[in-house]
Amino acid sequence: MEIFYSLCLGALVKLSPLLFCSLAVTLAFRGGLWNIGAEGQLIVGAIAATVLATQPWSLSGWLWTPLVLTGAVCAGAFWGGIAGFLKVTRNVPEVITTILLNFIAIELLSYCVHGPLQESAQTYPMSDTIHMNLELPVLGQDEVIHIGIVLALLFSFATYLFMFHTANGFKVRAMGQNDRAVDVAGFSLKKIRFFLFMASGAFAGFGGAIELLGVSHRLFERFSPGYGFAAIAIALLGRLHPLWIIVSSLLFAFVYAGAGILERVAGIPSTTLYIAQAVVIFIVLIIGIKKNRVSYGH
Amino acid sequence: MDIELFNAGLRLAIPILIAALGELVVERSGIINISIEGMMLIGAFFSFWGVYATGVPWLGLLIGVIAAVLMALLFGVFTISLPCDQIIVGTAINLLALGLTGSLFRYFFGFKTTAQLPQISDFFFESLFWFLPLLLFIFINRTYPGLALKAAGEVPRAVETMGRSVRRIRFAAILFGGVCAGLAGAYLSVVHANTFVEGMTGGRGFIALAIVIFGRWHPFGLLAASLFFGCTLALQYKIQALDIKVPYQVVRMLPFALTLLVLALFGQKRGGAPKALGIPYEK
Repeated sequence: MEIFYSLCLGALVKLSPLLFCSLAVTLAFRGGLWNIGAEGQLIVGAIAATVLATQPWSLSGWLWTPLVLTGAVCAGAFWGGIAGFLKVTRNVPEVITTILLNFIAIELLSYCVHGPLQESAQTYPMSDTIHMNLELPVLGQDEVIHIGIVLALLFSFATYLFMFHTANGFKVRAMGQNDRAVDVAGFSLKKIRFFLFMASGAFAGFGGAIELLGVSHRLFERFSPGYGFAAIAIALLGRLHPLWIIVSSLLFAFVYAGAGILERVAGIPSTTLYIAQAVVIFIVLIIGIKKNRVSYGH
Repeated sequence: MDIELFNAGLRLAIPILIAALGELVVERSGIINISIEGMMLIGAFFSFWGVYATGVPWLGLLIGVIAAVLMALLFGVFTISLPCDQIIVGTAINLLALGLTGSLFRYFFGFKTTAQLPQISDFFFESLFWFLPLLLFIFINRTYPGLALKAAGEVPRAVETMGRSVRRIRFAAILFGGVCAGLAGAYLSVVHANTFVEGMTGGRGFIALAIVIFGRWHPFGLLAASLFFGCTLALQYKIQALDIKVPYQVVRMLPFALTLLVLALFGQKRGGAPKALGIPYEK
């Protein structure tokens, strides 16, 4: 019973970064953009947030937190924007650029925690803890469920409203189904693609900041154990629907939390998680063959 | 030109070029396979394991290539027989390869291995490096099956009209890509590093993907591009050896930053990509 309880708590904590990354992936995939770079966008978001959150300022949390979140959003949007810019101006496939940007972000993170952002004690490769005022409020007596999880759910709902109940959301979906139609209707594909990439990156960057402020409170090398990659499987499992991905994120959150426990208890290596993700994608593909015949991208 | 630098660059360019040539054939047939990274990793692990278990280098190499081809088979079944989106299947295979090699490696060897393998001379790979582009150039431009391959990537319907099966051509191309990726991975573990490290391909498969674009889908273009890349990488090791104070993360980041820059400068603006690239063929 105790294990089950800690599993549930662990899963809820994992829900927020997974959900934010899945939203990023969902948004991009819906528009026919293959953003494989949520991982990198999450990381640069977290780096920017750490820079802002470890300053020796004496601001109130109400002012400072939005500042940190804005910084993370800008960083994530910038990272996504690079891929978007190269896609629309140079016609470079975004799959390759986002993957390259992941590698660059991972090395950047490693450099930051070994160099400019390393803790003042200079002992371990991690940053200082963020300022007390910035820690997100926690709910319940276990003090692990933070307000960011509620935010993630709210953002899912907002994305749902945007995608299915606004003209711009319709444009995004139309572009994913048939970009020529959107082009012929007189909208600039380049503009939509570029902004969509920025928005996608912003979501992931925001998720990175929330994870920093809510859970880890400091930055270190394995800050993201592949949330951005899992997000691809999650988004597909949730059929690229902003509300269904809440369910699939929760499922994966349990898998993540369970894998952690299994590694501690039974010694099953965490690399099996990647196999699980791949298997999920394959199963989703097999189930959805009829639907996949009309591919999202082309 | 520094001959030592060139030799080091060549050794770094070999796996990238072999993988890229496989991808060239795949893309020429109209399929985009972003999972060469994963297939290389599979090739690297299984050839290492094969040499370790059998003690016969060439047998190990063969095992690695067969394992990579099995991955390519999986990719082919999903992208051609079903057919599903190539990017998604590619991503899944990359994850599968990462998980499979990582788990098997930990299961068999723990976290690290000091196992030393019998050496394979790199003569085979070096001659492959110089002659494979030539052979592919002749195959693609001067033979009938090569023409059919090109056509499958440009105007698949015309191929079907001629009485050839687009799917069969594409499937064969994917399997060939698997062989190349397997060989490239095997080179990394069995010849170059002489051991296996988790995730040892370190993005080389993705650099190979970029090189196909940079080399404009032409075997000789790929040869030049991979040499350029190899020498630049070698230059970085030299910078490190000269004890110039550069953080090692920056050095590790540079190949990716360079790839990004090259793509930005020589993007697809002027074309050269097969017209039906990434579009599943449906009768």
